[in-house]
Amino acid sequence: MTKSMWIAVVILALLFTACGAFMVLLQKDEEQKNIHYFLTNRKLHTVISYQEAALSVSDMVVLKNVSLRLNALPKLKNNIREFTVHSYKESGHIPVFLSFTAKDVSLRLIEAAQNLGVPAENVIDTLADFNPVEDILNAPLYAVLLAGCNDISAQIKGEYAYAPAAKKMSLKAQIDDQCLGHWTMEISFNNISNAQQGQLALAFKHFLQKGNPLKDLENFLEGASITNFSLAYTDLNLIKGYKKYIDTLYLRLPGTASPAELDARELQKVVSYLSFSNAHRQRNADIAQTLAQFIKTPGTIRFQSKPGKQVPLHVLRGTFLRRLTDLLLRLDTSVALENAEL
Amino acid sequence: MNSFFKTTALFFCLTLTAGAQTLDIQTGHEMKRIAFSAKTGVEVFAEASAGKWCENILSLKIFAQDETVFSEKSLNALMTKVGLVLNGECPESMHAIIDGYSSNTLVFQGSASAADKWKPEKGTLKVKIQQLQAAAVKTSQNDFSSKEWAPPANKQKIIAHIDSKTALEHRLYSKDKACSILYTTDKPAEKLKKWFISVGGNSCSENLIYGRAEVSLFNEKGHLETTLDGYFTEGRFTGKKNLNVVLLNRYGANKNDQVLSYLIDSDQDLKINYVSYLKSQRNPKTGFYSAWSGCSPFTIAAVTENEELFLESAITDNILRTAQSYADIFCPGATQMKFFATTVPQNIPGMDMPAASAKKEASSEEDPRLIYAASLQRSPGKKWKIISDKTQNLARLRENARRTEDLREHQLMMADYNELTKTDYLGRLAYMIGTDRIDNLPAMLTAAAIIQKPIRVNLLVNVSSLGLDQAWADWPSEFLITQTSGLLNRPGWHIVSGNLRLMTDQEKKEYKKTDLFSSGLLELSAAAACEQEVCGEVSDLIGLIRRRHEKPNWQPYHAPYRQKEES
Repeated sequence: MTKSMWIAVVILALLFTACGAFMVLLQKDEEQKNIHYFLTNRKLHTVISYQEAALSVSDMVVLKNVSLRLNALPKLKNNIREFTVHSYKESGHIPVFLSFTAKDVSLRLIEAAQNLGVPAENVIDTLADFNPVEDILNAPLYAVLLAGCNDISAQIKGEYAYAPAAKKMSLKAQIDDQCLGHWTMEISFNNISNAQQGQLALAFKHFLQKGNPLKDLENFLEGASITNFSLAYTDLNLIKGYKKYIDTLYLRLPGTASPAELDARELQKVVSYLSFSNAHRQRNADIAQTLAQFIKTPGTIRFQSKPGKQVPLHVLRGTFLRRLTDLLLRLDTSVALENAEL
Repeated sequence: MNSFFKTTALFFCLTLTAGAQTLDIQTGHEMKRIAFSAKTGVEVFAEASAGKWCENILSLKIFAQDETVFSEKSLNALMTKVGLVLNGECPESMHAIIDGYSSNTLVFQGSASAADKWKPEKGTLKVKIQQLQAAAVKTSQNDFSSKEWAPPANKQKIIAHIDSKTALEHRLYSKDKACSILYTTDKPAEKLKKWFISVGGNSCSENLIYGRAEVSLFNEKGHLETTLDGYFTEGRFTGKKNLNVVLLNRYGANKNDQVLSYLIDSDQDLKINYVSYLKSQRNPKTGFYSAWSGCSPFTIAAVTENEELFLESAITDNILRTAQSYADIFCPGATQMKFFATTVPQNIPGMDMPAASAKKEASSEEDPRLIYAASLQRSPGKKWKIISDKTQNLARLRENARRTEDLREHQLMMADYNELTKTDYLGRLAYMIGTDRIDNLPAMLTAAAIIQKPIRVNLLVNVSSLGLDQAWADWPSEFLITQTSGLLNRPGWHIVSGNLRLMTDQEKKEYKKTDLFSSGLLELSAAAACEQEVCGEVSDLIGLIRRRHEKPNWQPYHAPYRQKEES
């Protein structure tokens, strides 16, 4: 090749490179526009901010350094280092599949509690009179704080699937945090209409925008049934920390049994409580024994409903705890421990 | 003689083990069996206090199967034998107050003394007097003085204390200075210096005239002012009354009423000093004062510190009878008598101050020095009668008030007791230090972190180490306590109060604390040390309430006095 030819080849290469770079920039700009359009279209652009976005050929969206402005806690500082939407599908404008991952979701629970805007006297009174059993459900944030969890840095995975024709929905979630532990949950709903699915979407939206997500969730579950439930929890510090708190509350001294652990009397109480939902006393006793063992030596506990079992939610009555107990027992949920000495 | 000792030894075969057996009778007092006879069914117990039964005055309880044991003859025989035991076991005992029971019913009360060879003397009053006597001995041992005032010992003659500001008294001499009197007048002292007396019918052997005399008073101009014809006591003119008493005080109640007090008698047993009064009134027309008189009415004060004497009607009556007998001695013709029991012998309205003062003070609170007040009257030749509407038993009123207060406090303590039986350990700790609650450190640290302000807390902590004005606790978790000077002086379990806050960033760095919940800091304002680990003393509920109310002998369930009243 002559020298001129070499020069021509280099120039062409440069031109191609420049064109390529230009095309990448154009594509990036398009991605930004698409994502911005998506958020703007759903009026989420004011409550979700991010530093960087990427949309791959396989439609995978990656947002970096995302922060959310939650409706209930507008001043709560939070950050998601990387939020990836692995797949998102719609059918006739109805979201039918979503799979996402959130890496390093960080926030401080103390700040969350501060942002709730509860008057100081109420905070003191609530914490001074905190009942370590009953108030777990009444004030779960305080319970987690009392367990010693404050700085959260969690990895979250989620999956949503909805079949409009079959009216079936399934949700999967996995949360990993050094303090909160490892949570893996799976649940399926039957008899979920398009409108009810819309309520779920609305609930998510109302976490960020003005509205009442709890009300939305209530409507979402109206007439629904639950099936295929599983929950696995591995304790890292949450139960251990909460036990420490209970130890100080009931003046546990070195060398004495932890008052947080269930003794025979407490065990009997749990069995009695379960027996109000289901008369199978031996199974109830086994469940209570398993729970007691888990509290004593926290490891991994797994709740798994019996395949094929289905419970309509409208049959459940009473307090939240009673409904939950009823649900689990009606689903013939097995409770098993892993990594714990029995 | 020998057989008598044998019988005695047989009868009281176990007396050497006296003190080995105890009996708790219903009153709650500890009893020591000092003698018994299985044959006659008699047991003799001595009441013990703090394990000690042998005292100067013993309280004996005799339990017999048969009431005939308390017949004079049998009891004499029994007490002779008990006396032998006492001589051996408790030689310092001099008196015994005896309660005799048959079938657990009190059938005999009496007393006995070593001086009478332990011969029992029946009588409730005597017993009560002796009991009160014993109480008086316990309260004031050998000190027989009243507050602010003490009578002369052994009725010694004392120099009257003259209150120069109010007592209008001047000493007037005869020309040769051999005789003198103490004269009451409101005339100027300068003039009185020039007055003199002329004495007839008295030898003036002690300068101050005593006894019968006829004294003429001459003024500064040498003119006769008046003549005092009658009796003198320590130079004071008492008119027709010949007093042979120890004068105590000379003072003026006011310009129109002048007062002299004199000691009548001292009851060494009951520790009462009986004091009476002479009064001299000014005639506003003539400006002269009357002769000292003390019989219209006869006013007598029983000066004592032993207020308990007047809680018993029998004792009060006995003291009143004593006062009446003094009225008969000093003022046989008196028909009016005022009796006062008090802790001090002077400045009590109605007693040695004009009645007008009493009216003035009627609206104010009762004089705490006054124990009892009564007015008595009699027709000539008849017995004294108490005028009931002018009688005040302040001792009993105070005792009733005290009992009411005790009952109220008992009710409060019972309420505390009932409440505390339902309260958990922390509730008892809070009660111990008088707060609403004992706080939980993690909960309060969380609250402090949320509200971003210090919180006032009360915490149970175990102080592990003390430093300069600061300490570290290792329970419920490691945290710093500051401003400890003068409040914390030893490690161990404490209940501490103060402001709890989170450490500043600088403090966290200094003390190497990173975790939010281990960086607590308490600014101490009060601390109470526990007696036992984890303040275990609160488990003793009764002790807890006793300490809180400062009632070391309190018992739950039964109201105070019930037992006493029942018995």
